[in-house]
Amino acid sequence: METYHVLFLQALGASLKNKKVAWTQEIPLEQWERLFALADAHNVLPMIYEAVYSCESAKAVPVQLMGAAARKSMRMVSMQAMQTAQFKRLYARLRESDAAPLVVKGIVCRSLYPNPDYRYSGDEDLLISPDKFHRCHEVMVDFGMRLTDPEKDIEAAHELGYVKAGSPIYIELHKTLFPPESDAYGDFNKLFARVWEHIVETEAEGERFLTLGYTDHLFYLICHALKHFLHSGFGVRQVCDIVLFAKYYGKDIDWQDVYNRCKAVNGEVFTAALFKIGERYFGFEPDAAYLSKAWRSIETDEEMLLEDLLEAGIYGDSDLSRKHSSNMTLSAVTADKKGKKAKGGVMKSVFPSAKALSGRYPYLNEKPYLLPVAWTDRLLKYRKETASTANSDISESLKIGGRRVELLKEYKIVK
Amino acid sequence: MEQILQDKRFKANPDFLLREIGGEAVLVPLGDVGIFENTMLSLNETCAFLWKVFQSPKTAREAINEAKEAYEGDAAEIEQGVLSFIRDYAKYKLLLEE
Repeated sequence: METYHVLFLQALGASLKNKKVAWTQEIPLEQWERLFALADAHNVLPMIYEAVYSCESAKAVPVQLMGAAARKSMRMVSMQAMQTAQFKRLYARLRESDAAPLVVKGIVCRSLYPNPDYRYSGDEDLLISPDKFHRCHEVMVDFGMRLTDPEKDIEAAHELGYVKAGSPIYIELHKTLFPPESDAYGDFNKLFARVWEHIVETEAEGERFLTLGYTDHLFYLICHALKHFLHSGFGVRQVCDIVLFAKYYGKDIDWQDVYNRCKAVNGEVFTAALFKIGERYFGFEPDAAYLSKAWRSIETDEEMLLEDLLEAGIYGDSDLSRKHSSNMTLSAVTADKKGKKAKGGVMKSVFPSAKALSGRYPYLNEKPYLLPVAWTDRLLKYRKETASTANSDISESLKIGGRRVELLKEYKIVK
Repeated sequence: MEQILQDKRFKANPDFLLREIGGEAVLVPLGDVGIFENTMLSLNETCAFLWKVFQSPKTAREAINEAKEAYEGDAAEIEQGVLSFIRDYAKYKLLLEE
């Protein structure tokens, strides 16, 4: 691990306890720059900045670097405060209308942090039952929300994005927790078939919200991280969310149920590694969280996952080569589900199936024989994207993809 | 103290949120806030303290007493500082009369 990785983990660990670091050692400028860049990539700059700005070591940091980090942190915190305030108003309207969706992640997780607005969320996710969807959509539109894609078929779409003019708020309204058409994780939805039977009302930032039951919610956070891991990686905020959620709601969580469901998606070793990262770096206490024996008995090396996580940025988008490697990892998972060897080959990555491309090229649903047209368009777009962008190289993507498929095997997600 | 201030209770406008990071404090405007839309108001330490005091309705006298407890210094200066804060913030509707 690099020095700035260690500093990052120390600062984040301190932040989660609402403490500051007590560094006194001389830290080279380059490490400070990388620390702030890493924090920015993971969207935790406010948390890191607050933890480090007043330590002895920070006095040697040039004022331009500290000032830039301070200004960006303040902007992020302010933006989050505005988003949260707007969201609370929207949700109050939804509750009045009796078409209130369930709040998933977002404010429920943020409220667990010592300073909720320091934990930046790009959007708020809502889960709506099919029978209430239309009423919910009407209330959102009445509030001033507009679809990000007005052409989208709102009946057929499993998720819809909404924005509001003049406001930073962004809402994703889901009819299912995971895209049903995904070969790699569409089947996760089966494991949430009974969520509507277990909903709870919880308080977050002074307001009350309907949300998933505690066991369902923790399992969802795990599956969400796993989904991004299957793509090209996930961010450290997701580990923090899982660890904090388990810490605060541990005694209300059916840990055996979580274990059984994680096993059903080949995610138990991955999850155990997340808890080990939480225990080692973020103050997670298995006893205090009532973590069951089944979990503690899983042996795994969490360091490889941690290294992948740190390199990944927020959603595995740290660079385009990594992002484009996701085809290989998703293909490997899909092949494994079909009982085939998870090779993660080049051909599937360059020439995916019609089903895999139908999300981006909807005409393939009706006219699968146009698949070669879609391949050509995709390759031309990839060439255009990579021609003008640094850090994107097809051979690098393939190398990263191969390495990440091995990681999936290490954590027993695929054979 | 001006009579007008003696009798009134003031409260921080809920359309502004105080956020602090790295030892700095700002007021973040929410909703329709007129001239303050798309701005952030930077507060010094004293103003941030007084903003917190006025999170619940207070008269000028109550706020002055709290300031005297929190800060050392000349009593008359503290009183003038609080009154000045109330006048300025009320003028721009950052403080609202209850």
